[in-house]
Amino acid sequence: MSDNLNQQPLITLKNIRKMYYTDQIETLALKDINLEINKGEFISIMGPSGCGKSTLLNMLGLLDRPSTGTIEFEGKTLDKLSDKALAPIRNEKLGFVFQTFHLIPDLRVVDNVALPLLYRPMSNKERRERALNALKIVGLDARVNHFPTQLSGGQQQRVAIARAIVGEPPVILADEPTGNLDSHMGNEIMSILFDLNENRGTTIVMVTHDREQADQTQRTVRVFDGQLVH
Amino acid sequence: MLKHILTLTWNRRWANSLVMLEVIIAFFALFVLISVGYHLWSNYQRPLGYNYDNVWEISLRIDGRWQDKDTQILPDVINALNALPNVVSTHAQSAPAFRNWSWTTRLPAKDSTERVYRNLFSDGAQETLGIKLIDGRWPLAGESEPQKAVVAINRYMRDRFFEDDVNAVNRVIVDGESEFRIVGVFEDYRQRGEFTEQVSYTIGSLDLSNPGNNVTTLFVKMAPGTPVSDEELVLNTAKSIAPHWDMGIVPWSELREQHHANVLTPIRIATVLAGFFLLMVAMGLIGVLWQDVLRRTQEIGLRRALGAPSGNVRMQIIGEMLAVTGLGVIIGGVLAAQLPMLELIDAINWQTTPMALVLSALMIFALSFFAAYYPSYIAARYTPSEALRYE
Repeated sequence: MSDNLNQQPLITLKNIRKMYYTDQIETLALKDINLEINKGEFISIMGPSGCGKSTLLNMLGLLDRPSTGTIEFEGKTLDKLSDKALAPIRNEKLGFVFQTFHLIPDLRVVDNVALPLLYRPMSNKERRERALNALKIVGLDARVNHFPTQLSGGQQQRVAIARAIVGEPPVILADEPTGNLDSHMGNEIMSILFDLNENRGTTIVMVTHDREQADQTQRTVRVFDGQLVH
Repeated sequence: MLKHILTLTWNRRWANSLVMLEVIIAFFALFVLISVGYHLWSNYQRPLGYNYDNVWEISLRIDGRWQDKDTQILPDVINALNALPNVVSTHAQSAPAFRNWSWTTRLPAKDSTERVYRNLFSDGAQETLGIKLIDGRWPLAGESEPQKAVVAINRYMRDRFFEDDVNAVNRVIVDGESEFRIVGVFEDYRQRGEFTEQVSYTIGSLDLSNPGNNVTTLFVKMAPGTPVSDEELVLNTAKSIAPHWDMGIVPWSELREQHHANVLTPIRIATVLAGFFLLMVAMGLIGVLWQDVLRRTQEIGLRRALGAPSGNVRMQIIGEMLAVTGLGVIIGGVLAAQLPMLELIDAINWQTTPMALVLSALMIFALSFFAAYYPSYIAARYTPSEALRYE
């Protein structure tokens, strides 16, 4: 992957600050963050609870707007874009994996996986075919018609990964993807993520508390009190 | 997206069952109300068949049986009234109008027996009431015999009893030993007012030389602009000849208004109650949707994270509500469509049902849309990260 490091960064955060306001209390969640993420990288973000890791991931995933600073994606500045303009970028360029899976309990596995494709112009048949293919990649093609509650935690996270990759985004953002799993299932999920990175060239940014997992990634970014520490 | 919404609605059918029940009940209530309202409105649109302006009704309440002396003085009373300066004409009648008073018989019609309303008018009725004769003539006094009535019938009865190309005049309807010889056809005489449905009606002649117990009412047509104070003059004139008759006088237009009030008051009460009920349904739907949106906030955040624009989330919530409403309307519609077959209420029949079904469905969909709009607006306001963090 080292040849990718010389290319233009995929995502660039410049002087990012994020303030939260509740009643009369101001909380500085991120302070002067400068970070570049290159295409094909597998980066882990580490830090103690409440240090701003998830907030940083939300900035990278365009799920929240910074109070000040600039986010660039593939060289384009996104600050001024409306929510309507950001939605297709999230849909086509980013895949999300959450600690709590965030599967919709009333939808079957295949429909959960096809969810991102719902917001693209595509036939139902093609959506289903791509969802089945994504489920095959994560080894869950035998469970397509199950509901999430009928699956184990590890299987649910694999469904979530299938949902993240079904739209073939160049970046996957994973927020403690193994946090709710035992070590065996955690290792399974990690191996899927490594496989996506190595064999498909997917850029992965993962928040984790697990030093061992972080050590396996190409780069670890440490956050403390809302700031990057080197 | 439609398939997705339908899939979600179906998979959540048990969670949505209470909302659906609410929709079914509201739909049903609206259907009945619209059917009754439309039935009354369409009846009201049809001509009354007579003119009530400047007509005063004198009701007669005679103690005991009708005596010979009553028979003798009845023409005198009518003549005395006709002699008054503002009186145009006067006649006696067996059944009054704008009251729940009827004299009916069943006669063989084209396909089955049909209820026929009857009445007897004395000479002068046509001038007093202005009923339009469209064929033949009016029955004459003394023309009828026991078991052999001579009558004019209304257009509706002609259509119900005879084929289109048959002239009803001079036809005889036989019912056992009784005969009804038709001498004329008139447009209509809607005895119980504009809100009642059309009925078959016959008018015979009331023979003042032998009225029996048939006289209940006198009708006096006054010249336009006659002051109300003349009521006393009219009543006193009648009483001066028949002091032993208990009489009351009231303008027909007033009686009509009272009758309308009697018909419309329960409808108005039902409308107000239905309005409150629909308001409660709307508030219930908003409450349920609000809860649903709160419960699904993380799902909404997820959808936003996966690329759904806020407008799409709003449309999805409204779409799901409309899908649940659609299921409720289908079930309610199937149930409501059984009502005309049961023939429980005159107002719910095959003429009113299709229109009532469509209107009820449109109103319920509009209600659901507005109930879903605000919760969907709130849901769409969350940023994806806020919604995903929501607990």
